[in-house]
Formats: sequence, C-alpha cells, structure tokens
Amino acid sequence: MKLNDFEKWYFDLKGYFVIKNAVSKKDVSKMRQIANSWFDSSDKLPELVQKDFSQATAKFLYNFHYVEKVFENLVLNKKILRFINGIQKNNTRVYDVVLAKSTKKDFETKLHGGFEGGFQEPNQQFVAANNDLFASFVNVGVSLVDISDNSGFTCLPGSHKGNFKIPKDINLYDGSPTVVNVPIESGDAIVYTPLLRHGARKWTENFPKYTVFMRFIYAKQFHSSHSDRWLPYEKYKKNISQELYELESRDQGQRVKLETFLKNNGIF
Amino acid sequence: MKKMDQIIADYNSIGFKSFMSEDEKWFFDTHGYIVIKNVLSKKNANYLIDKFEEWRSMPKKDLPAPMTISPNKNVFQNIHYVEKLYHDLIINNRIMKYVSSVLLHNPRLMFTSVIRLKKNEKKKKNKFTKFIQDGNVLLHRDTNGYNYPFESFINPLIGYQCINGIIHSGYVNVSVTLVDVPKDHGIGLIPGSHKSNFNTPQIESEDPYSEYIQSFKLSAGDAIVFVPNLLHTTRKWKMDYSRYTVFNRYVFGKYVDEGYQGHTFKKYKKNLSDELYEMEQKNIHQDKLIVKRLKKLYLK
Repeated sequence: MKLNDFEKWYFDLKGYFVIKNAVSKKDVSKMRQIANSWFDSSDKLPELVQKDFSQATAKFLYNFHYVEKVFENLVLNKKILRFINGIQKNNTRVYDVVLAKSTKKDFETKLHGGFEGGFQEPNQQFVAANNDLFASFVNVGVSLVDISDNSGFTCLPGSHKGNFKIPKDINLYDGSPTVVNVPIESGDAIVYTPLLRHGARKWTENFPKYTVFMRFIYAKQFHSSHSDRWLPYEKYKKNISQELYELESRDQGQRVKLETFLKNNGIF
Repeated sequence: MKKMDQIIADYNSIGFKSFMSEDEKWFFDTHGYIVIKNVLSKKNANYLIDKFEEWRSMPKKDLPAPMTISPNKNVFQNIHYVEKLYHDLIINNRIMKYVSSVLLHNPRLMFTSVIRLKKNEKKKKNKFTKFIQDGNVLLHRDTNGYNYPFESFINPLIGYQCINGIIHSGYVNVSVTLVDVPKDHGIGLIPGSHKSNFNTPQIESEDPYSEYIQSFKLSAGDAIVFVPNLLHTTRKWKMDYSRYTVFNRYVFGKYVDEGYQGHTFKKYKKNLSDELYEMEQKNIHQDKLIVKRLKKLYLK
C-alpha cells in the first residue's frame, strides 16, 4: 500500500516519520514486563535468546521474537509494515530485531550517519521519483516507555539529502532546526532512513528505557555486511509463523504466505 | 579515429569558487536560509525608521524620485536612489557574500523595498489581502507567476539546485529587520522544504506553527538570506511597536525580465555608485564590479 501524500512529503522533508500508537498500550506493557524479567535474570535467558551486554550505550538481546508471541506480533505489526512496505515498494525484509535496555548509567549514542553528497550506496539509498519515494534500508525504533523531553532519539532533519560535509562541531545537544529531539510515547514507532544523521541523548530517568529496533532492507538485495546474527534463525524457524519466516527471508519469488498475509491485512 | 564536429561547451561553473565556507554551505543547503547578525547598527536602523516616517508624512508629489510609495503608504520602493544607507545595505559585503555565491557570481538586484506593518492595522482589500489569514501570510513559495505541474520541478529561473558541490538558486531573498523581532513573529519557514520532492500537502496539527515553522528572535539590523523555493510565511505582528523590514530580491544576472518592470532608472544613475547601478543591469560578459570586489575580499 502506498504512503499517503502527507507521509511522503514528511518523510522526504525530514528523513523520519513517527507512527503514533503503532502498538497498543496493553502489548507494550506485556513486552516491558517480559523485558524486565529477561534483563533482571539474564543468566537464565531462553536458550535461543542471545545477548550483548558489552556496549557502553545499552544492553542488547536478540532472537527474542522467536520466544514470545507478543514480540513476533510486533515484527508483523500492520501499521509499521504498511509504512515500510510503502517505502520499499511492497518488497520488504526484516533482517535484524534487537531489544535494547538503557539506564542512566549508560552513555549516549553519538550522532552517526548523514549523507554528504556524491553517489549513493545502493544498500542505503534514498530516492524520489514518479511522485513516490524509495529507501533500500529503513530502521524502525519502537519505544516501550514514554520518552522524557530532551532524551532519546535525536537527529538532523534533512541530513539524508545533504550535499556537503556535515560540520564536525554539531552535537547531540544542539537545538533546532539543525538538531531535533523527537518526542515519543510508549507504543510509538520512529521510522527513519539510516542516511539521516541520528543518535540518542543520554537517558536520565530512574526507570530503564526499553526499545525494540528493527532493520528492514529491500527484499531482493544482498546484505552489504556479514553477520551470524542476520535473520532468519534457521535452527528455530518452527518457533515463528511462516509469514514471519518469509518476511525475514530474501525474496526469490517464494514468499507466498507473506504476500497472502499482507494482502489479507490491506498492506500489499 | 575521426573527431565529431561539435561544440565543446565552456562551462562557466568549472573552477567556480563560492565565498561561503564549507560549514555555511552545509547549513544553507540543509536549511535553505542563513541568518546574518548585525548588518546594520541599531542607530542606523532607527535612522531608517525615522526616514520612513518622514517620507510617509510628506505629500506624495514631494517624495524624491524615483522613490515610490504604495497606496496604503506602508511600502516604499527604489529607496536606495535617495538614501545612502539603503544603497550601502544592498551591496553590504556580508550579505553579498551569500547572494553572489548562490547566484554563481552573477548577481542582479531585482528590487528593494521597505515595508511597515502595524498590529491590527486594517487593510483595504487589494490583490494581496487574499494571501493573509488571521494576520499570518499564507505559507507559500515565491514564484515568477508560473507554477509547474509539480513543486519538485526545478523552475530554471528561480528554483534551487545543488550540483557537484555548487549551490544555485535563480532568486535570492534578503530580509533585514529594522526593529527587534520576538520569536513567533516575522519570517517563519520550514527548513529543508526548498529541496522537497513532493507537492506540499495540507498540513494539519494541534499547533502547526510550533510543530513545523522555524521562526527567529532577531535584533534590529539582523538579516535573513533565503531561497524563495523554501516554504515561508510572515507571522502575525502582535507587538505594540511597528515592524519595519527591508526586503531585497536578487536574481541571476541572465534572468529574463518576463513581465516585471525594471527597477533601474537611467535618469537617476548618478544617485548610485557605478557598482550598484551595474548590479541592477542584466548580465554582462565579465565579472561585475561588485564581484571583483568580493573576490578580492573572500578569495584571498
């Protein structure tokens, strides 16, 4: 399903879009509860859930959507998939799903990304033509908590279409219009092109910040970098629905169940 | 091998050197505008306000030519022919640094005006009042009278483009405020909208101005240089004192006049410096005097 005129205009202008209330508060609450229990007893995680607690900015869990249905449903969320499918011309693939926990002890995520002119990398391109747009790589962040003012996702709107070197002295805490902190409530999803220069301000609340990150690529393309982590997790494919397995798989004309799922939900 | 009989074009922009720094180019390309602080002193800004009121109180027949006044007595044009401060403001180095760079070092002054706006002033209906709603000028792009089928078309005469690190827009607007402007007053714009690839939809929001519009807290004497393809507005003026703004438009020197009346006056040529009079003329096949001066200043 195509994006509407406002969605196209906004995403093109800013490089991101917020889908308000993409996930119900009930599901958010359930996911937060599960996340709490996993991070609180990380030595007893289900076998297939992998972790990386070595980063300075957050602790990360992977493959959790193979364990809990509410997370599987999040990856197949209709409001999010409609938007991503609109950007990726009905041919999207999710290849990375991450649950992140940040506390006030963690560091900020420094600004990164941003287009500085010249040729676009095909695996991360953003183009507009024929009154439509296309981005071969799209990130989604779904917040499981209300984000307080001046923390969380922060970006340089329009930097996905830049033509010059981004000034080095711009930092995460500068003000608008150059640097914008995007207000987010629990259940909202931020969709953005990684060409957008972005980062996350330091979390300062006493409660932890939980975010589910998903990365989508055009389903016919190859990965631009290798990792053992890229989905699908073949060994446990029986844990998830066929449509999710196909959504995680490269499109070689075999994704029939997914197409049916998308059509039945008015997304295709 | 035989060579094709062909013209190998001598592209003017090869070797083009902007007067803008790399950081300034990034800012201007990303946002579509740049603010220049303090191009006029407060004292000079006040002097120009006093002149405005002095002229306004004069009978129209006594106004020095070729200056003109609008029927509602709120807009004067061609003021640079009669007041040296306006003359100098138009060719101000710090303003022309950006104007000349964006116009590929081929600037031409299209017009200059000074505008007064009072709180709650009742306006007689004219062709422009339909563009004002609740005191706010409707959000718009400037055009040369022709709207292309899609906004993303680059109008060759006025549109914005950036190719191989060279920024160009056929029109450049410069607004200089003569009074202090609080935030949410004066010029408001949507940063980045000069590079939109889509028609502007109807924008709806609980508070569209705070959500979408960038406005500026300015001091008397500050200037904003912006490309007219940027979506912009003028916010309702709610202060007890009047707003006075100098508004200049510069165009690419090869711009065809297409309907607008020339704003240059051969009869009063002596009132201007050679540099400014020349800048009012269409392209000449060499750097204009002002460009030569700016090159000495900025390309050392």
